[in-house]
Amino acid sequence: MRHRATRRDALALGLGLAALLRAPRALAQPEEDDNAAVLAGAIALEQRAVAAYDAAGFRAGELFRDQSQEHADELIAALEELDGTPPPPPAPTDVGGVADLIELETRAVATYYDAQRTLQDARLLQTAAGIMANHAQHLVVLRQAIGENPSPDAFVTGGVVE
Amino acid sequence: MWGMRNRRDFLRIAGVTTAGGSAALLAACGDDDEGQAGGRGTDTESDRSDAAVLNAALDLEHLAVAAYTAGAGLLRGEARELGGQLLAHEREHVAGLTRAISDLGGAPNETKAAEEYARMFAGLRDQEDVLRFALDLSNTAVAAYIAALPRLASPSLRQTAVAIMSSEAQHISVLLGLLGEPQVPEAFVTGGEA
Repeated sequence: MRHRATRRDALALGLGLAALLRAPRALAQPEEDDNAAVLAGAIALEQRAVAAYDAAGFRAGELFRDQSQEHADELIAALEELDGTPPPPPAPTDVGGVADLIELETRAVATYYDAQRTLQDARLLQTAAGIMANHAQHLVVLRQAIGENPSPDAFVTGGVVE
Repeated sequence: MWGMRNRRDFLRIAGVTTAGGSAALLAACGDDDEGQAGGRGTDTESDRSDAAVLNAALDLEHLAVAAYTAGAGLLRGEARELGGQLLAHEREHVAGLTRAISDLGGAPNETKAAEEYARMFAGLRDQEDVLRFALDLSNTAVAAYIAALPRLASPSLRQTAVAIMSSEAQHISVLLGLLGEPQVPEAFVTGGEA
């Protein structure tokens, strides 16, 4: 079973990131606002991942939860440097199982993939890439747990097709 | 394990130790250290710079193709099956980067002669040697792509680079799993383990 995320999925999550990315560059906000908007969306996604792994009871879930929390902490610090306000943590979530976690991780990969188009700061670009690669690795373990091909794609985009 | 000096010697011969690989990418971009993505120079200058960065990455991908090809005969069972898949990925990376460099008007670097690579792989004795060599290559590639990202002026090329980098990160997890080691050791994947 393949889980393909699209920018529409990100919008459905209420991240607001997709709308930002679709905005014509001529209408884009100043650079710091772009960076802050991307960070706020990513923080919301990381917090959602933390809540999902709290609820999931997956074997490697505690490690992946802690890693997602590390991502959130790093992104919150970066956002606060830009005088931004982090989103509140989400309510506890119901997670159906590994398939739901795969979908969430795939959305995370897609979000950070899209962020490479929007982020302007060198350090943030590299931080986002390091986090994206970690979520891509989570996918390997999750897929192996249900007998799927752990690394099916040579270009890992979270299903985003340009 | 390895039955030779060490893995770094081989990567050093290839000129792609983690620091060297990153340095090669940075050198490919000149002295620009303004720390901002994009917005540098004219389109032609940016294209030339992006092509140089991608060519340094292409060298690593050529090496990875050669390594998996050379090591295939030492792999067995699941490792052989997954190794074949990772080799196919590396070939796709080569094709993607070659196409991107050509689109920029650059000249994609060619793969080295087989005998040049063969010298590097002569010390591979068994499956674990191959897996650990591949692991070091993937870590080196991740570090190189991380270094390259802020140097690429084109947002779409940054996406291409990060998509390949995340593929290499997945290779790391697959290889660590085959070696019986923790598959996701770091929250921020930087390739620094190489």
